[in-house]
Amino acid sequence: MIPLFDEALVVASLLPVVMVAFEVCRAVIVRRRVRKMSECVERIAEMVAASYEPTYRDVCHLRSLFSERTIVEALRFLSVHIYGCALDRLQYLARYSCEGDYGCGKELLCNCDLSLQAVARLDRPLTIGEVARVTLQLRSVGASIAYTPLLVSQNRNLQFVGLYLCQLFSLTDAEPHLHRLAASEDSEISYAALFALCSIRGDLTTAEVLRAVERLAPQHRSALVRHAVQSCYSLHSCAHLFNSKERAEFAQRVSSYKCRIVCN
Amino acid sequence: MVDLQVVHIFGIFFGTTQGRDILLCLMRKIVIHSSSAEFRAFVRGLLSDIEALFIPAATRKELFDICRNGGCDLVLTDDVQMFMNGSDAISQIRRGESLPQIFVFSHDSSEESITALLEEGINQFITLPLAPERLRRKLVTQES
Repeated sequence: MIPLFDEALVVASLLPVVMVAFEVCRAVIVRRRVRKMSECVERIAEMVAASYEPTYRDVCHLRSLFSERTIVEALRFLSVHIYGCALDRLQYLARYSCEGDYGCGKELLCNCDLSLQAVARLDRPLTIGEVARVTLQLRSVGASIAYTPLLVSQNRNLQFVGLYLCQLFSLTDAEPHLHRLAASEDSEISYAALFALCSIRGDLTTAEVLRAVERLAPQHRSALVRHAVQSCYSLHSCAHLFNSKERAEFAQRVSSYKCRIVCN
Repeated sequence: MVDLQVVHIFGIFFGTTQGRDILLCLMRKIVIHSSSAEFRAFVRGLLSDIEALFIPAATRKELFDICRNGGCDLVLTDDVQMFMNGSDAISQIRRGESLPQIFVFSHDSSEESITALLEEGINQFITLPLAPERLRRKLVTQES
C-alpha cells in the first residue's frame, strides 16, 4: 500500500506541471499555426495582386512551403475578402493547389451548387451576417443562381439565402413567393420576407402582409417603417399597416432630405 | 521629395545603416490595424509592391501608441466599432503633428454606417470583398 501511495503522491504532484506543459505546448502550436496561416495568406495575396498571372511554378512553390490544409484555409479566407479579377487568379490557385476534397473551402471557390448544398446541410440556422457573406461570395464568383428553388425549399437556411438574394438583386418576379413566405409561422422568415417585399416595391396591401406586420415586435415595426421609407413607398400605400405614431414617423422621414422620390 | 532610387545609391555608398535610416524617414508609414493576423497579412500581401513601411498593430492600444509617437501617414483598419458611439478614436489617432489618413474596411455596406463613419472623419470606407486594384487606386488618389 505504501509504495502505491507514494506513487500516487508523485503523480499528483506532477499533474499541475504536466497540465502547464500541455497548455504551453498547445499555445505554441496554435501560435505557429496562426503564423503559418498568415504567411500563406500574405503570399497568396501577393500572387493575386501581382502584375503578372500566376503560373504552375508559383503553385508548386506554394505547395512546397505550406501544407494543403493551410493553403485551403488561406484560400477560404481570401475568397471572402477578394472580388473581381483577383478572384479568377484565386480560383486558378485553388484548382491546382488543392487535390483532396476539403469540404466547402474548395467547393465555395469552384462550384456554387456545392456551396448551397453545404448551407443546406448545416444543422444550425444561419445568422444574417453569414447569409450576407454566402450571398456576396456567390455573387463575386459571378454564378447565376436560381432563386425559386431556394424560396420554395423546406430548408430554412436556403429560404434565407433566397430572400436575401431577392432583396439584393430586386427580383420582382419573386413577389408571389414573398407573399407566401410573409405568411409563414416562422417569425424570422416572415420578417425577412417583408423586408424583401419592400426592397422590390411589392404590393403591401395583401392580407398576408397585414397579418405579418401585426405579428411584428415593436422594434421590427420601427425598422420596417424606416425600410419602407428608404424603398420609396408613399404614406398612402402603407397607412393601413401602421398605427398613428408610426404614420407620423413615416411622414416625417419621407419629408426629410434623404428622400428624393416617392412612388406608389 | 527625393527619388528613392537616389536614396538607395546613397545608402549603398555611405553604409547600409545610414542609408536605410534615411530611406525609412522618407518612406510612407502605413499602419495595418486588425485583431486578426490573417487580415493584417492579407492587406500586407495586397500592397507588397508599394514603397512603404508597414507597421502592424493588433490592438487599439498599439495603434494609439504608434500614432502618438508620430509614426504613421496612413491607417488601415477593419475595426469599425472603434469609431462608433462617440469614441475619441479619431483624436487618439490624429494627435500631435501627424494627421494620418484613415481607411476603414468592413463587410457592412449600409448607408447609415458609411455616412456615420465619414461624418466621424475617416477618409475612405472600403467594403469587403475588395478588388486589389481598387484599393491601390484609392491609396494613390489619397497620396496625390
